[in-house]
Amino acid sequence: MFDLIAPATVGITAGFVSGFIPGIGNFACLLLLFPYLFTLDPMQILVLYVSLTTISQYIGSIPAITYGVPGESSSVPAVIESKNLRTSQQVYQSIVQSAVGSTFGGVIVLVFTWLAVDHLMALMKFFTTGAQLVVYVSMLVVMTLVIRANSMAMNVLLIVLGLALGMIGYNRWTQTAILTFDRPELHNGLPLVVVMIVLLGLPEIMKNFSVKQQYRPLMREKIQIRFNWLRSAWYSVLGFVGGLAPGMTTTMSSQLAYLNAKVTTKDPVERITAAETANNAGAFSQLIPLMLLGIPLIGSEALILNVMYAKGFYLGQSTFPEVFRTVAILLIAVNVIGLILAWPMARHISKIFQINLKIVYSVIAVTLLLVVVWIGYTNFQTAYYVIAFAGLLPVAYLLRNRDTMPLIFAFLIHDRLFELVWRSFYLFN
Amino acid sequence: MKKIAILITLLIFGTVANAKDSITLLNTGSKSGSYAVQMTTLSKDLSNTFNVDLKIPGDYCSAAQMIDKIKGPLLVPFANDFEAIGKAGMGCDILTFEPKQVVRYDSTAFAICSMNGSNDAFMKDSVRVGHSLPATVFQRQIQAINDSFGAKLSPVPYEGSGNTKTALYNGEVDYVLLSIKHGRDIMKNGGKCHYEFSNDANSDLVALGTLDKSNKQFIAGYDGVWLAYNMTDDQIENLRSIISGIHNDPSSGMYSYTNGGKNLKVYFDLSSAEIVYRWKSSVANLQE
Repeated sequence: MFDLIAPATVGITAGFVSGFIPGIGNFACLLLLFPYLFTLDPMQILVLYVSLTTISQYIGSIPAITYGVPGESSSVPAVIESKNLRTSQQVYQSIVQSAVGSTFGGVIVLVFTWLAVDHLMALMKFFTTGAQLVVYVSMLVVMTLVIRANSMAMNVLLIVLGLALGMIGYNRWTQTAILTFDRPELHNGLPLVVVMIVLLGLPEIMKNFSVKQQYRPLMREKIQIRFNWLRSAWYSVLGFVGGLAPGMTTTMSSQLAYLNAKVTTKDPVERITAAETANNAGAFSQLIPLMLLGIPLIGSEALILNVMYAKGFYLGQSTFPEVFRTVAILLIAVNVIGLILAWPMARHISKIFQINLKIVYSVIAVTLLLVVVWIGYTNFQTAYYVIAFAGLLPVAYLLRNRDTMPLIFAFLIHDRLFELVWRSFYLFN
Repeated sequence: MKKIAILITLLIFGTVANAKDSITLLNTGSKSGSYAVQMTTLSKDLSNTFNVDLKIPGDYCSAAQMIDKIKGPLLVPFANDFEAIGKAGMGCDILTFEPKQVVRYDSTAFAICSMNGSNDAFMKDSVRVGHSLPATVFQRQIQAINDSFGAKLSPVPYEGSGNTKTALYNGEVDYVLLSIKHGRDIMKNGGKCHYEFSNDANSDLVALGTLDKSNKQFIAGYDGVWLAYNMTDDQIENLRSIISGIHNDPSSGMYSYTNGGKNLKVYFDLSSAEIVYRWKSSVANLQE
């Protein structure tokens, strides 16, 4: 258990960065940590990821409520409602209630899932190749529909491009080489880290480089916490369901609870609390398909899954009991840390917003470039990684104004999808 | 300042005194296969003796091209199916090795297992048989049964042995073709094994090689070698001794994996001639 403390600490720190800095989401943080991830055991990787996603939900609410800047995408309702907070007391009350609600949401869904573990395991027998294929195809369809930054046609095009890039290399199922040009480097396909950094990491940084920041101090006020068990439980349920939405997860969680709260209350503090409670519940439920079935719902999960595969570890039914136990214990501890950071520490944390984000983005961009070189070097393929990086830059330039997540997601799941399609031919012929 | 200097000196000397030799373990199999499990397990078992760098590129082709680039002591597992596929022109360059490089030789037969099946039903009914990769090797074995006994078996490929077993438990396939080690797992979970690919008349299972003696493909299994690179003869001998000790240590991961040698036959003392003979025959049996 002690060997999990270091990755958990790194995950908490990364979650802090992910939650606080706009545009640096969980995915970008994982890319920055790539060299470190490869030194970890599979369970340590998962622990780091769970810590990161949970803490980013807690921290994300601070800039969203205080400055109206979404640290991460699920904080959008808080950003919208922050404009309706009239007094510094309301701001502080929103911060505190969001922290308390988040802890409640995170812990309550964890407890209920724990109680239902056996039933979840029983579901596995229905999870045949056909069922898995339906889930994967549905995820791509949902992704096409929900990513509004692009047109639907563009989303389809990006998915096709992601699958096509993924197909480069030696295909173990057909036992044929696709576009490898007899180059052994290309046998294993395009390097994962290069594709992620060039086609997702750098474009995200460029998009956020010009974000305006405006610092104002967060004051500690005398407030009375209004906590309603029943309502919080309901928001947690909504968050849990939303967290299972492919491609959306915690964003869907907070939106569902926010829409519900908009109907039932006019109090902006209550609306923010609803959204923040739900997104923390979703932060846990999004992990269930990953842990139980090895199915990623979002890009960062797909990335983690790929890294764990690279370590020879497959998440699934046989590993679920141990993985769930470890994650559950960890989550209780991380939620407590999240509560401390997002409540008593919130005032101090908000001061960090005085730093110049342009410098932060520049440092992160340089670090990502170094990550590419480092991973290439450790794989004895520095030249190949640099060439692949340069080769993909024009694609990144063409896609600079698009949300490239459909491409990235398709690239990450292409192998599994191909396997399922290939096997279906055997099963249904 | 003086204290700091002493502390740094102590730290440096302490580190040097505790320095361990380094070794790289390069997995040549898939990320989910038994080789990945064995290399991961071995890396933990060896970590008391060596600084271990475990590399799992994900496929044989990528791993093979890394061998020349790794400079220090290196241990590489290599399997007969890689060589059989390579000789059929479908894989990558084949590793050529000297018997003295072989640290460990292992051998396990293929078996046919099911949850509810029977020996008769397997030969007579139209059934699905799950198997792992490389597909060509296993599908050739399944076709051999169809050809020799008039069976109506349909092969279904899966990523690794774990996924193949899950498909059997889910009922997606009726039988599986896996190594006997996995067959024992299936039996522990309430299933049974029916046939094995050998000519061992004394086996608990029906040996297909005894039913059709003319077909060499029924004497098939996984043979594997762990090859040492960038090491002197003495270093190889030392490594062989350490790894042999690990396999015999009940507290080690490798002991659990091999079930003390019951699930996987491992050899550390084969002569050069024996290694060459066993290897060539095992590769030939997987070829057409």
